Amino acid sequence: MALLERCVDVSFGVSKANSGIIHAGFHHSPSSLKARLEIEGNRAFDGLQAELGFPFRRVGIVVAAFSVEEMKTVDHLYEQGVENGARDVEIVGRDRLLALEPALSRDVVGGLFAPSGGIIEPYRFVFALAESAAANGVFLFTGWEAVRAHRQNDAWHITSAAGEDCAARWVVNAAGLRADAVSAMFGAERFTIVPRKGEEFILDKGSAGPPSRVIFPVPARTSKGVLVIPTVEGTVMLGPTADEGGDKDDTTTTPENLERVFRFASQMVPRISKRDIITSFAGLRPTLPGDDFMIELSRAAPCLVQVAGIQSPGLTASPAIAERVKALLMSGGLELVEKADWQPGIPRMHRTRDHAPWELDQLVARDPAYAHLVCRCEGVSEAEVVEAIRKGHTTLDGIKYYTRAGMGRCQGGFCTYRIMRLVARETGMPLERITKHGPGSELVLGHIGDRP
Amino acid sequence: MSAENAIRPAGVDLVCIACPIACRLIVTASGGGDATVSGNRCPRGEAYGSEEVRAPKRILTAVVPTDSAQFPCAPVRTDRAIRRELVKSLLSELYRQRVALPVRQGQVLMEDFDGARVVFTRTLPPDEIPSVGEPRAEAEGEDQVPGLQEAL
Amino acid sequence: MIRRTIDAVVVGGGSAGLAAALRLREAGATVAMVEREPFLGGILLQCIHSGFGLQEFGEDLTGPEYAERFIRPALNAGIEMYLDATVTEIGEDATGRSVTALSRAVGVVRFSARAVVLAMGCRERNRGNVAIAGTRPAGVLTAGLAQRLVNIEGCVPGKNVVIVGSGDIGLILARRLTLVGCTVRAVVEIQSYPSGSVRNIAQCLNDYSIPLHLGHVVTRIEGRDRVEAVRVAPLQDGRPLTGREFRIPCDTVLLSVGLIPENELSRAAGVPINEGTAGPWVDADMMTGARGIFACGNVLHVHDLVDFVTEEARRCADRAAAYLKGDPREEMIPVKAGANVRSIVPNACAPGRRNVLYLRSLVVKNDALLELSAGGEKLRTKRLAHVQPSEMIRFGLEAGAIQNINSGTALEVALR
Repeated sequence: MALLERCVDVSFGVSKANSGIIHAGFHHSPSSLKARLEIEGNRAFDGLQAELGFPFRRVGIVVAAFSVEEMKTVDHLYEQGVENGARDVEIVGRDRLLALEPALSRDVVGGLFAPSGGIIEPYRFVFALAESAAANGVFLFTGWEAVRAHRQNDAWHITSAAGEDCAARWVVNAAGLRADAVSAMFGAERFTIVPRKGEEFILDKGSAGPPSRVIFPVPARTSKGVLVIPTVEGTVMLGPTADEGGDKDDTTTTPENLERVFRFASQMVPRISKRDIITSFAGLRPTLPGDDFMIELSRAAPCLVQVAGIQSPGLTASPAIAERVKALLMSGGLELVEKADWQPGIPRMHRTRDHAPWELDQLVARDPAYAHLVCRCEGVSEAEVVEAIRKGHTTLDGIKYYTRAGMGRCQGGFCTYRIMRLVARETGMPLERITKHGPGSELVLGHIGDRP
Repeated sequence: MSAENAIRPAGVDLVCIACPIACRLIVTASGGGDATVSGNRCPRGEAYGSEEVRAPKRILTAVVPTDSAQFPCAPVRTDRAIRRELVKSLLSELYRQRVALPVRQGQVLMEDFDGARVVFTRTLPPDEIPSVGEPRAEAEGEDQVPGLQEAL
Repeated sequence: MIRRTIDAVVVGGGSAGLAAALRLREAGATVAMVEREPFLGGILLQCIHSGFGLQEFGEDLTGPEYAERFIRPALNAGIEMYLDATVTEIGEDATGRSVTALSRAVGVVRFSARAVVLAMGCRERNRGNVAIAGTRPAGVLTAGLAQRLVNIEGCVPGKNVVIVGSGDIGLILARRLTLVGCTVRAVVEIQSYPSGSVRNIAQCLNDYSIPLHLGHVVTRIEGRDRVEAVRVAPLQDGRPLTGREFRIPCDTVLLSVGLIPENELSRAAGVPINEGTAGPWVDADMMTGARGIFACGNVLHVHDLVDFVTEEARRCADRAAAYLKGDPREEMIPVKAGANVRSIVPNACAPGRRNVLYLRSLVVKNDALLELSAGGEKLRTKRLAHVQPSEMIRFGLEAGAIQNINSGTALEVALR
């Protein structure tokens, strides 16, 4: 099996800008495919975490209502959740809600509590899955942009932008924002993925009044609204917005949306402050008309599974999507036999910041680089950065998503040159070839003393 | 104020750059090609003002490439101001260098450029840290270093 | 884990830490210094331009020259040096303070110290802090990082550069980048006046005909992989005039938009922070609200001149040495920022000694009046030719000048 990725690293597309919520299964209508997969996916995360060790906590989700009118929607969400099979959802009154989430505004009138919701670091989840897959025989090709496909001798032949070829009996189209283009490439169904942009703002660790649970407003029509999310690593995320109509590369943020997000978020959590913003970003949800997932055997092209329109709650649903794709492949005639030597678990990554000083000695005895902090804001050691580089994450963004180095309050001001030096040392690449996220995003453009 | 009218032709109204006080200087031509400077609070201002209208001079600081991967460049300066019009040619000479480390602060790189010496401003590699207390050797356990506690 | 017992731990080996550690050693204290970089000198080492040391040495030194004036004696002063080492925690133990540090060379080390001097300096405000909209390509970096890349690593960060912010760092960088062959397309300043000195406007911008756009903001950064352009608009009543927006093609955007004292370690140690400076609250002994923890330099408040950092660090070390000797502490008078004063350091004065106060104005004003009062009674005044927020005001208060203030009354410093 081969995984073909257009970007230079996995999780660089839709996943990297995910809000990192494991949804609890009450937002979507029982008639939708996504509602079912959300519930199934949610249940899989404890087992996956045990195997893969990514940062994940079931902190619970609250929906905060600020009027009697909004409480009616909460009733509806509750009924939907119960019908979907969401675990332990309950309608809560004002006092219980404030006890569950003391950071909430005193103006709440009540809401919903879903203890099975949680928070996750999306890129760590994706990296862990990729490592587990690779350890079990999946070939990973990054920086491999599929541009053409044709069928010959019962196999698909796919050609990359660089002219490489890859042949396979079956193909799964999980191309996110470009699933429509990939479908067309295979002569399969015609559909259009519409990007729905979401802007997010990150508040520093130690900001005023961080919530302990994911806080949702009562949802709007096209999105779940602006949330206040305590991230699994201690920062706070505000967002996302939901704007359609841009292009598939438009990840710009705007001052108007910053204002909007802050206005909405501070209605729910009054103590948040703009002074704590350390960064902002925008992600694009790949949406289909009707807003449901499309997971099916192509009727127009042979041996092709379409996995399209995987927007929220795609991350939550992903384990269930995988099961469904497996079932579709088998129903299509692909013989699949579980490997006898299948080992889903991957080795745990040690992180200096997770250890008390007296516990560090052993780690440091093994590798003194655990005692050398590269990123002061997130407490990331040289050993962790080197591990990321040796695993092939040689771009600044790849290292950032893998280790969190550069993700903190100074946003790389102090660690960028240190990381560049480590990449150069480990890979032998000259500094001017090191990139932020792949070719074209070089960090420096020359040396002093270069001939012009 | 826009950028364009912020740039003034040298010759009439100047900001003295001899020190951070930055006196506003008025330089007027007097007989025989000499200049009269006013607004200065010290003789350096007068010298700067009259020089600035004739042949402006600047201290130049720069870095030169080295042969070291650990310290890829070494900072240098001119020990006095050089003619501003010569800054470019000094830079291109400096960038052609491949200095072999070690160098010491004050060490001369170029003896005479427009009457100035070009000297290194940093010792590279930095001087070794003398070991005090030998923390590695003593490893575990309490350690008392004589100091103010004894003075109590 | 290695354990060390010592009089004082100095956190940071830059200008403040070096001056403080040397002074503590002179007073006979045992001192450990913990520095993150593999060499001493801090940010001075990347400030290769001149303009340092006029107050301290009466000479016009470059940053590395100024630093070596302190590094050389520090190497021979018997200071226990931990380079390439990071303090991760300041706590309490039986002797007073425990300080935990990590380094490749020694692993985990825990000091039992009776005094700690915070000298960690500051960090730069970044894009997120000032919320510049647009894409997130390579080529957007802070001025200090660019300075480091150019002056220490020998790299050229870009070819066509726009600098946001006209503080001295931004201006000096504009010149520096021009000298390494970049074209600085513009310096964009949100205020209607330059934040940097007129001297630097003259020798860094005007010398090289670099345009300065005052009262303008960058409204958007463009470019997918690498920066392609910025959009710039004039401000009116605090809002960008989108109708007069223009585009500057460039491959690099450098942010020189302010410095923040770096106090995460202090905060975690329970040190109360002063809102006005974002540094610790300190009394006339430069002691923070946490007993035995002192602070000086840019971690306390951002200075304009390194010479004053040195002065402040020495005073801090002198008081820390007195504390270590067990000298009785003087009753102090609280100091508060009055009208038009954004921040003041220290936050308490010792009436029996000479005090030096540093303050920042909230307003731009010519011919301002600095006014000291207590309980509504004017104590003294001083004329200042010009004040602006980006320029620190420093003044001394002779011993006895505030002797007669009733206990419980604060000394108020205002600008009129």
